[in-house]
Amino acid sequence: MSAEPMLEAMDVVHRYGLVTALANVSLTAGRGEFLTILGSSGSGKTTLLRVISGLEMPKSVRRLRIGGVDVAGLPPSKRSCTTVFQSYALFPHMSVIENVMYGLRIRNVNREEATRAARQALAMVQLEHKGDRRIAQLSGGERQRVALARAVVTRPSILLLDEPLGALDERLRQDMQLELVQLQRSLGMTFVYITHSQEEALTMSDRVVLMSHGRIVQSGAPLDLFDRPGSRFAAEFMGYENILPGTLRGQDRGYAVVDLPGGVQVRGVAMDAASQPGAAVAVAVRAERLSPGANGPAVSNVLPATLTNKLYRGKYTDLTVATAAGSMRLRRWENTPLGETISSVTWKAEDCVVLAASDKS
Amino acid sequence: MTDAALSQGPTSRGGPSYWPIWRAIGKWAGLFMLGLIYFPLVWLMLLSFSANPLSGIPGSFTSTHFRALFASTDWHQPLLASVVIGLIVGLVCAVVATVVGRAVPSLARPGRTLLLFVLPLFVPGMSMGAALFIFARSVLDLKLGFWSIALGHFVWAFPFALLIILVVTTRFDHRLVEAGRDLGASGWRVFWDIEFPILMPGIVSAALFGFLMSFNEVMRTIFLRGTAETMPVWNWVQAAAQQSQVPIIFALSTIVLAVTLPLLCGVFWLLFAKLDKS
Repeated sequence: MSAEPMLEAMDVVHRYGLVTALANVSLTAGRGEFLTILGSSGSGKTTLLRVISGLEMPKSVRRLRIGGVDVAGLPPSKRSCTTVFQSYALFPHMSVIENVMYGLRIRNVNREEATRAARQALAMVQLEHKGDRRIAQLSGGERQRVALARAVVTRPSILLLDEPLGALDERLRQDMQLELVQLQRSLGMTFVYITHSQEEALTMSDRVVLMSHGRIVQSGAPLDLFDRPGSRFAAEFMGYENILPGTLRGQDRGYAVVDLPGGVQVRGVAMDAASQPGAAVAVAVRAERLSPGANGPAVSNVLPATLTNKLYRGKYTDLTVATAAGSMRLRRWENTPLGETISSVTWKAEDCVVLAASDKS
Repeated sequence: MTDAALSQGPTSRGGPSYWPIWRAIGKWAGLFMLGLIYFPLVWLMLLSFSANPLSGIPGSFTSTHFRALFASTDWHQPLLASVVIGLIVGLVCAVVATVVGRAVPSLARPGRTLLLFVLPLFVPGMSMGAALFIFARSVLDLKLGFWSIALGHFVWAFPFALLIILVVTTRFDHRLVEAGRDLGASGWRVFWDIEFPILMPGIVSAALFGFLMSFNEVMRTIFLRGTAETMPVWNWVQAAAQQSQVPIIFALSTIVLAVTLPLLCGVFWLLFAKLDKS
C-alpha cells in the first residue's frame, strides 16, 4: 500500500430531516485494500457508500478524495469509483454485453475496443458465453457477476460493493466470497465492501470498520474485531454468546480481575482503560472458547455450573449451563457422551474480554 | 388437508363452493357481448361492399361505393384536418404526459393529484365542450377552428395518455438511473440511454391513444369547430343531410375502422405484451 490513500473521507456529516445518518465519520482506504464496512441496517453504512459514490451529497464533509482527487461536490459521473448495487440495477433493455460496455461507451471508447474490454470482463467472471443474453434470462448469481463486470470494466480507482451477495443462497454466497477476494487481488483494486454479515467481513477483508448509529464503533484487522471487541455493542455484534455483568476488582499480570455475582473471580483482557476498580463491567467470551470441567491451564477461569439444556445442531452441540453469574452457552464440536454431567465451565483469560458495562454513545 | 387442497389446485379453479352454472352463464354472456360488439362492425363492412346498403341487408357485393368515395374529394379536407389534429394531439400528449407522468410517482400523495387529472374523463362532453368554447373564444381569443379543436382534443385525450404513461413510470426502477450516473453518464445521457427506452412502449402508446381519442372525437368538436370540419363531424353531417351520401359514409367508416382497430391492437400489444417481456 502506498502512502497516498486511495480513499480519504474526513468528517462526513449527513442527515435525513432530523435523523442523523452519519455523525462525523472519517474513513480511509489504501491502494489495493479490501475494506469492509460492517453494520446492521440503519447503521449508516449504505449512506456512507452513497456519499463516496456521489449518489448522496453529504450535509458537510471536511475532505473527500478518491485516488488523490478532491471529489467533494462532484457528481457521481466525475468520480473514479463505481458501485455494485445490492439490487444489481442491470439495464433490462440491454443485453449482457451492452450492460458491461455501457461505462466504456459513456467514455467514448470506440465500439471494437469496448466490445473487447467487455468480453474480457465477462471472461473474468466466467460469463464469456452469455454476452448476448437478456438480463431476464440470467440467474441471480449470473446477474451478480454481470454487475461486477460492468463495474470493473472502466478500471475505477475504487469499487464500492453494497451487500452484493445479500440476495444469493448460502452455497453461492460462499463461492462468491472466495471469487471476489481473488478478483480483488488480481485487479489490485481498492474494494469498499458493505455487509451486515460478520462472516463475510472476517473471511474477505484486510480491514473491517464496524458502524452503528452513524458512527464508527471500531476499526481494525478482522481478527482484532473478532477476538478483541472494544465495546459491548461490538461484542454483541461479533456474536459473543456470553456477556456476564461484573465489578472490576483490579489488574493482575496484565489481565483485568473481575468479581462475578456469586463470588467468583475471573480474569480477562481489559478493553476499556477508563474503567476504575469498583466500576461495573461486562465479561464477554465466545461459546466455543468455553469447555466443561475444571482441568484447564494455569491462567484460567473456572465457574461452577450445572447443565440445563442440550441442543444438537448437526456440526456441533450447544449446551446451556446455569452458573451463579447467569446462564452461559458452550459449543462442543466433538460428540458428547449421553449421560454427561457438568460441574463447572472453564476458559482462558486471553479468550475473554472485559468491557465497559454500557456503551458511552 | 394442505396436500388435498394442493392436488385439487388447477382442476377446480374457483374452489369447490363455486356453483358450476356461473361458469356457463359467464361464458354465454361473454359470447353474447362479443357478438353485440363485433356483429354491427362486420355488418357495416359487409354493407359497404353491398350494392344496396340502405336496405340493411348485405348482398350482391360490389366496390362501387369505394370507387364513388375515391372519385369524390369532399372528404379529403376533413380527413386531412382529423389526421393533422390527431398527430399534433398525439405528439403533444406523449411529451406532456411523459413529463407529468415521470413526476407523479415521486409525489408524497400521488393519489389526489392523479384524481384531479383523471376527473375530466367523467365530466360530460357537452359541459367540457361548452366550457372550452367559452375559454377558447373569450380568454384565449382564439378564432374557432383548427387550433381550438386541437386544444379541446388535447384536454380530452391527456388523461388517457397520462394513465398509460403511469403504467410504465410507476414500474420504472429508479435505481437504474443511479446505476447509470454511477457508471459515468450525465443526467441527459441517462435519460436517453436508460429511462427513455424503458418508458418507450408507454410513450408510443400514449401518442397512439392521443391520436385515436382525437380522431374519434365529436362532442367537443361540435362546440369548438367554428366552420372547420373533422372526419367524424363531416360523416355525421353528410349522413344527416342527404341519404345519397350514406353508402359512401359506410365505405369511409369501413376504411377508418380498418386503420384504427389495428392501431389500437398495437397499443395494447406494446403496452402489455412487449412490456412484460422486458
